[in-house]
Amino acid sequence: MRKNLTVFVGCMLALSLIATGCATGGKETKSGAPTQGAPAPQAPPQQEKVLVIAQSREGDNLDHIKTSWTTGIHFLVFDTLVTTDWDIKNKPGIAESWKVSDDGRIWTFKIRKGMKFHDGTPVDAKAVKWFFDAVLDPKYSSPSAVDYKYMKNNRVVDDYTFEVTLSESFPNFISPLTSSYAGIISAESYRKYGPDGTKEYGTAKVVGSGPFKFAEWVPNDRMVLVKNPDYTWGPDWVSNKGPVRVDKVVWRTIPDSSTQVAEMEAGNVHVLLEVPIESVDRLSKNPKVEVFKGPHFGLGYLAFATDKKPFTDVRVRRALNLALNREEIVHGVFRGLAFPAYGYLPPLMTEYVEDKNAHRYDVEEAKQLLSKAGYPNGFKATLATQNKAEHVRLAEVIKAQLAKIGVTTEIQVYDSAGYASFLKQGKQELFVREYSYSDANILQWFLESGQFPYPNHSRWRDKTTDRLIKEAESAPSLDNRTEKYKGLQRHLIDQAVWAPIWVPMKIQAVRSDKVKNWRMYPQTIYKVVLNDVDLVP
Amino acid sequence: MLIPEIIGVTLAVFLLMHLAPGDPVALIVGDHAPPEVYEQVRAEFGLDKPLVVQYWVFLKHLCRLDLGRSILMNRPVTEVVAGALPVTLQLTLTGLVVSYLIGVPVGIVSGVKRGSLFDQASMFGAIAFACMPSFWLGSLLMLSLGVRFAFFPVSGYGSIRHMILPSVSLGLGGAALTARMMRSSILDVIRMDYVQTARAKGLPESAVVYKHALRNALIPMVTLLGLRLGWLVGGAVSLETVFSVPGMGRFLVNSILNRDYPMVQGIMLVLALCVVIGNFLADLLYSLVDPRVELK
Repeated sequence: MRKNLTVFVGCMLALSLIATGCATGGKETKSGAPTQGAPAPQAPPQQEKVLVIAQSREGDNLDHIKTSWTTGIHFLVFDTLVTTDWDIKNKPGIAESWKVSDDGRIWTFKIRKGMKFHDGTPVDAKAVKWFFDAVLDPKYSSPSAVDYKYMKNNRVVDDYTFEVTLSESFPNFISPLTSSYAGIISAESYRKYGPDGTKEYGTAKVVGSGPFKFAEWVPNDRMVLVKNPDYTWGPDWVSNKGPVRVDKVVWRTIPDSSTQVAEMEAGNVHVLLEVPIESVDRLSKNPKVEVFKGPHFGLGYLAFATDKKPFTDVRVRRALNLALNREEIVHGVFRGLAFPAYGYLPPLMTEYVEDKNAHRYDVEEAKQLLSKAGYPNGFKATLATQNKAEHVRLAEVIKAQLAKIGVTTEIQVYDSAGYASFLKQGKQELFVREYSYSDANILQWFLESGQFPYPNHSRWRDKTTDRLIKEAESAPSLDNRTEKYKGLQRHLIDQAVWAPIWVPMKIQAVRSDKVKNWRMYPQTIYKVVLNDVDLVP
Repeated sequence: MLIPEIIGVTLAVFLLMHLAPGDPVALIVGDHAPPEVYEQVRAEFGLDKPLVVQYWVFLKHLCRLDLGRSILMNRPVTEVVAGALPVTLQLTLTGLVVSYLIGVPVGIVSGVKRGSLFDQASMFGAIAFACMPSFWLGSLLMLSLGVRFAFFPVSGYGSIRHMILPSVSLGLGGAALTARMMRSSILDVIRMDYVQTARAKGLPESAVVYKHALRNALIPMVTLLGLRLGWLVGGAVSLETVFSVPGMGRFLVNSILNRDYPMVQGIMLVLALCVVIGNFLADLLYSLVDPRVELK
């Protein structure tokens, strides 16, 4: 019997050891992607400066020609023709200068000399032309092709001069050239590893010309970037124009926010790009951690299916706007770590217009408006939201606030894929949305008739809106465009197309005992600028 | 039976995933892409074809051991599974070992010393641990032994030390159930005539328990072993998220949320195979524990 018992226990241990052996004996896979066996990043090796950044989810694919999902890694691995500085002003990048013809249609970019991709090929006018041609090539079905829809003809004038002819004047043409989708990829590497080659591009191979080189990606675990020692073309708005000061950046994928906070407290993670609001107080009290807070290019709002009754009536939409107590929401749902929204764009944008009166809290006025619209006792509607914890809490508060004017709502919660499908099918009535974007043309994407039924999920078809958007997008100058967008917002506020609720706050936490010269970039959540960042040994 | 089971699993997963609302292509192309780009990407992945055709294509590829390509990650599913499966197996099997190494001895002693202080304390502990969700226990262990005392890595994967907290978190709940099961099994056996006869022969109590009672009392534990595998895989899914372990569970959850159909089908197929093989191995163990069982 003792023998059998020993055999039983032995089998259990053997199984465990076999599994352990399987798991830790990893070698490189066929595609070059490492298996799960390599040690997880913990304390960096001696002398090597390793910055560890936590992210809650990683991009599915780093080929930004083929996917609409980009991460902060794109800003570190790639250079763009034009960059944006700390104040989101356009500054030279790969292009050291540019000029526009008098009719606003021909843009000429002078390419900086001496730049090269991580594979050693030169960054020149030919490389830049290849990238934009690839994005616009229907065979790649690139989601970002729409950003360059005005590009009619791209031309290499000489090795370091690139010329774009637009189909019509479009002063905002420069804006998409600064985005993470516009990082110039090495043509040679894309041909070799991309969709026409080994199909490894975006997972095992990623080749740009930025301050960091892509090194490895262990899915759902980490992405590793190493310093580009040849980098000498840092933008004007950073102090260090040469190679970065850290040797390696490890982006750890840690889905659970409380685990991220625990790892930061234990000193294994140096930067949290998104601090959960419930952890802000705790981290702020930690003397080894500095919490950065600031406004963010985003907006959260309650939207209506404006082609369905009773939301077709502007009085109903205005009543819903007046029924929302934004201050209470910001303090109750977001613990004060957000700002009340009174407009359709984030306040950081130059085109921003606000109207506190139209978005005031006035239950009595809201009831009167509903009565005039023929709903003295309110009405019933569904209230849909994505399953993000804050959005679900918000939906519950909205439900309670709307109940005060007699509007009874039934909350419906969807995961991200389900929510996108739900909106696409046009099943929504009232629904919570949040966008993160730094260009006023977000209003065109979400509210122009041509975008119906998706992404114009508000189902807003209005000739005045279309005209104002068209005028703004084809304005002869950026100043004129700004004025046109301000006019558009005043019209949207008057029509109460949405009920803006909150402007999110960007919150990052950094181990100040280890990381020096950290500065929070105000634009998107994941964008980080590491040219000047250093680590204490 | 294996082939019908596999076809049943793939069919059920295929239908459930396609019946659920959601669209992976909408996530790839984002809000701004024009409809023609959306349709083109759908066609690239064969999602424009009727469901019957899509399922047939999946089965045809499966015959060549090709699980397809992830829609979102643009990687072969087999490559992802090959990387993640050993991780989940390691977590699951070490959890299983923890649950038996703790649960079996505690159950034996509790059964033999029925009513003693040890019995009462251990059964109280068993109920407490059985009630604790593994992810909650994992968070507690992480904050205390990982952050506060720094005995173990807080999260991540790569060494044996990284697996200790997740394995213990997973195994303790199982140990509680194992201990209760072992105790009642011992109690059933210890009252039987042949055990009384052994005592009457004047054998020492340890010999009565370990040589005579334990042989029969262990048989239900082997049955439990097979059943426990599926339960442990479920627990591993949540613990992989808590401890940032890049196993099958993490990929499965992400793929379900993003409606990455080939990934979900591939992972579910492999997990089902693991459970079937685990039960088969448990059947083999019967013959080792109980010589009356013969394998044919």
